[in-house]
Amino acid sequence: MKKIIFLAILAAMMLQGCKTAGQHSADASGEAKKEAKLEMDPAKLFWSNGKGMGNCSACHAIPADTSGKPAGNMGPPMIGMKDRFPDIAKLKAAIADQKAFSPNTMMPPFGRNKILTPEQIDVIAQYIYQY
Amino acid sequence: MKKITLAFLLACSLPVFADPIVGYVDTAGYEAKTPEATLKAIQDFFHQKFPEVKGDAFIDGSMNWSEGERQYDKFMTGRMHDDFDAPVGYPEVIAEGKKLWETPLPDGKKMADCFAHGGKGAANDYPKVDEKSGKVITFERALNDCRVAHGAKPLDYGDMKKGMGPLSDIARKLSDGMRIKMEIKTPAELAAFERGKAVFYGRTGKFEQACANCHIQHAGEVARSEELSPIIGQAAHFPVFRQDKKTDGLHLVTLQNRYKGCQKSTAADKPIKEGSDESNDLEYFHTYISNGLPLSSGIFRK
Ligand code: HEC
Repeated sequence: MKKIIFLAILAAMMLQGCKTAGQHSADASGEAKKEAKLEMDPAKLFWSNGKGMGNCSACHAIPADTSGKPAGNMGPPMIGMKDRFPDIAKLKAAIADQKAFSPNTMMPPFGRNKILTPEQIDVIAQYIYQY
Repeated sequence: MKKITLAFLLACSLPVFADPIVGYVDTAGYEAKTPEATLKAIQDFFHQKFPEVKGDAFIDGSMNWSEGERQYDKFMTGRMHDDFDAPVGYPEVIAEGKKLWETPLPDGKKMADCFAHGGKGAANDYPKVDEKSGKVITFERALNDCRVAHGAKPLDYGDMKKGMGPLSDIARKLSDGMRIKMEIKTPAELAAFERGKAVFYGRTGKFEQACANCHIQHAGEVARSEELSPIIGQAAHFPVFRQDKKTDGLHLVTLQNRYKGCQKSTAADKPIKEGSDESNDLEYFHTYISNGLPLSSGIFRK
C-alpha cells in the first residue's frame, strides 16, 4: 500500500514537472512572437481584442468617445480618472493587478500575468487619464 | 525500478485536461455549505437583482435583457422550422442525429432499446453519480455506453458535426418540456457537487476569471456587445444552434462544448475538454442550479 502511495505521489510530481516543462517552451515561443510586433498604440490596445491587445473595451466604456464602438459595462466607465486616481502610479498598479486591491474582481492581472508589458500599461494609463 | 519508469511514462503521457484553478470568487452561493443552500443563495441574489425575471423566464437567458436579441431569436427559430429557408448547417445536423439514433447498432439493437420508454424522458435521469466510482455519468456518456454495449465505437464528445453533438441533440429532444429534478443526497453525490462547484467559482487562465464572475456576479451586464446570462436556466436548454460566422448558417454547440468556448475567453492554455471528469463535474453542479426548469434541446441561441 505504501509503495502505491509513493508511486502515486511520484507520478503526480512528475506530471507537474512535464506540465511546467511544456509550458515554459510554449511561453518562450509566444513571447518571441509577441516581441516581433508589440502594439504600442494605446487606442488600439484599449479597443481591440485578441492576442497582444488590452481588450479593455470588453468591460469598460469611454462615455466621452462617441464613435459608437461597442463597449461593455462590467467594469466602471473611464470617466473622472484624474479625480479617482490622483496618483497615476495607483492606476497603473490597478491595471497590473487589481486583484491585489479587490480580491473578487474579474479584472485580469495584465501585469502580473504578463498579458501586457509595463510599457504598454504605461501608455494605456496615460490614454485613459485624459478622460 | 521498472515500476518507477512505468509511473514516469504514465505520468508524462497522461493528458492534462485543463488549466489549474488559481483562487476562487466569493460571490453569491460560494460560501453556502449545502447544495440546497447554494441554490437558494443564487436564486435570492437574482431575484433581488432582477425582480422582473421570474420562474421559467430564466431559460431565456440574455434575451431577458435585450429585446433585439429576442427578436433575432424569433426570426432564426422561424427559419429553422421553414424547410425552404433553413440556415446552412441545421438540416445536416438534424439528419446526422436522426441517423445515429435510428440506425441499428452492429448487434441489431437500437439506441432506443437502451433506455426506458424508448428514451422518452431519459435525458432527465442524468447527470447522475456512479456510487462505485464516484464519477459523474452524463447523458452523453450513457449514449456512448449504449453504443459500445451493442458493438459500435464510442462517439467523440467534442464532434459537433458527425459525433456526439448531433446524437445528443436528437436524443435530448425526447425529454423536451420535462422539469429538471435532481436530488443530491449521498456522500458521492455531495462530493461531485462540490467538485463541480469548485470549477464554477474557480479562477483559471491568464485572465484568472471564473464562470461565477460572468454568470453570477456580472450577469445582466454587457461584455463588449453581449448581455451575460445568469447561471440559472443555462443548463436547461442545450444543445443549442448558434450563428456561424464562416458559413452564415448555424452550428451546434453542446453544453460542454460551450464550457470550453467560455473558458477559452479567459485565455486558458488548455480549456476544459468535453467528456473530461472536470467538465462532467461542472455539468453536475450547473444542472442542479437549474432545478425545476423545463428542458429544451436544439433551440437557437445567438
Ligand atoms: C469573461 C466572461 C465569461 C466567463 C468567465 C464565462 N463566460 Fe459563459 N458566456 C459569456 C458570454 C459573453 C456568453 C454569451 C452571452 C450569454 O448568453 O450569456 C456566455 C454564454 C454562456 C453559456 C450559454 C448561455 C445560453 O443561454 O445559451 C453558458 C452555458 C456559459 N456561458 C457557461 C459558462 C461556464 C460554465 C463558464 C466557466 C467555465 C463560463 N461560462 C465562463 C461570458 C463568460
